[in-house]
Amino acid sequence: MTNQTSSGRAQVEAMPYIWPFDGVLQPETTALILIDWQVDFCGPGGYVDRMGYDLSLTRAGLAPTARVLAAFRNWGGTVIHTREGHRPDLSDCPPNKLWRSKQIGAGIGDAGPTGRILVRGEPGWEIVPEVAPIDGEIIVDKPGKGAFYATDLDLMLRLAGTTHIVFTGITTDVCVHTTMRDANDMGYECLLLTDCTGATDPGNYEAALKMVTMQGGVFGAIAHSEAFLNVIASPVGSLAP
Amino acid sequence: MTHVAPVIEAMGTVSGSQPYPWPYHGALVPRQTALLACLDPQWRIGRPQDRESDERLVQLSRTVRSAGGLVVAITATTSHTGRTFLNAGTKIETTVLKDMEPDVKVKATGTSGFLGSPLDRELRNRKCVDLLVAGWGLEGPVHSTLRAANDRGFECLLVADASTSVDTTLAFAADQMVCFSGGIFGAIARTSDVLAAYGRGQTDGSIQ
Repeated sequence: MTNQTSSGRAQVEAMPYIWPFDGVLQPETTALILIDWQVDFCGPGGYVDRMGYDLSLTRAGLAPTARVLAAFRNWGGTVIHTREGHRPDLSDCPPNKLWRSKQIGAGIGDAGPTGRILVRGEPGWEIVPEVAPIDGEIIVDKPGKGAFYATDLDLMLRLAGTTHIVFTGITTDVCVHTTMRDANDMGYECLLLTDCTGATDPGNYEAALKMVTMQGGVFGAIAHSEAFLNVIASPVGSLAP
Repeated sequence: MTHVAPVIEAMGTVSGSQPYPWPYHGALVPRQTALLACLDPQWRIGRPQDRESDERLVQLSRTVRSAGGLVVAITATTSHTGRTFLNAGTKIETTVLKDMEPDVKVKATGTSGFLGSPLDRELRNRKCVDLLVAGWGLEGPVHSTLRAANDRGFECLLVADASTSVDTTLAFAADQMVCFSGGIFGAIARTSDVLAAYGRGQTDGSIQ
């Protein structure tokens, strides 16, 4: 699965092109972003679970993400976690977002099975233990779907020297796609791991992946986590300049 | 407190919009509504049905402006990777731009019209909080712009048949993604639904 360029660098067997495009994959310039692996979205007893929705759809990517996270930490890249949530007084929650959430019976700030829904500091807002942050890892709290708007993510990526981003998280068509589109627009070279992400609607999941790969990779590339692990866990990958 | 009767300014909601009657606050207010037309020629194919979409875009722009709203055309600089996806239809772009007579033209540095452009400031200056979003690249610039606008708190309506897809197999999903979870990025409607909502206002005499 590992593809080596003439210069001996390792690249990932991805679609629609061998990733990254510039052939330079190294821990010093690569970040792994884990998007919204929060209890209310994918944890037992969280909001999605208690409402009777199929938790397996949002949990499907959790085990492969945990494997990637462990290997990525070992490799030495920058790990960034995101959490969607609002201030307790909801002063950072747009009124139409609040209205919509109440319309579907999941009012932001209302009491839910694991505390106030989508409010920072509540149990349901925490990241699930399988992929929980460890000391030294960056956590970005975001008020919207995209992780760049109204956050310090771009600043931290620049200061860390990041030029390449690997994405995991939920949900594929909403928070992951919005963030990946922005990252691509801003010049980051992006890869989405297909088995490390999930959506509440299978059709939207498939379409979201296809949107990334259209036109030669308009938003970056996609790959199975095994293809990525083959590179970062291999001797060539770990010895990359 | 000044008495500004909402019936003079507002026109009710767009009937036929999904998954809820748009806008969420219950009344289309022309002077706080802007049309964002995504016009990056890299995303235009130019099939016959695409030309119909262009005509709808022009119709929408005339209606929005004559009712006192703002028409914004968004174009893009060359992608940072230097990749050019399609044959750039510069001539077509010019024609549509001319027919639309946008009040504001902004140039973005990415697929999102908000990136590297004065779009947010222009909308805030004009006090436009409700947005009709349409144009070229439903699955590209239109979606990126819609998503960015939604995170910024704008109330968005995707005008589906005034938008064109590069890959038409993605159009259905692009619409579905907006409607999911009660309208996670806003709502969608057809051009005729939007024009009808403005038309009702005219019959009521609420457009000067």
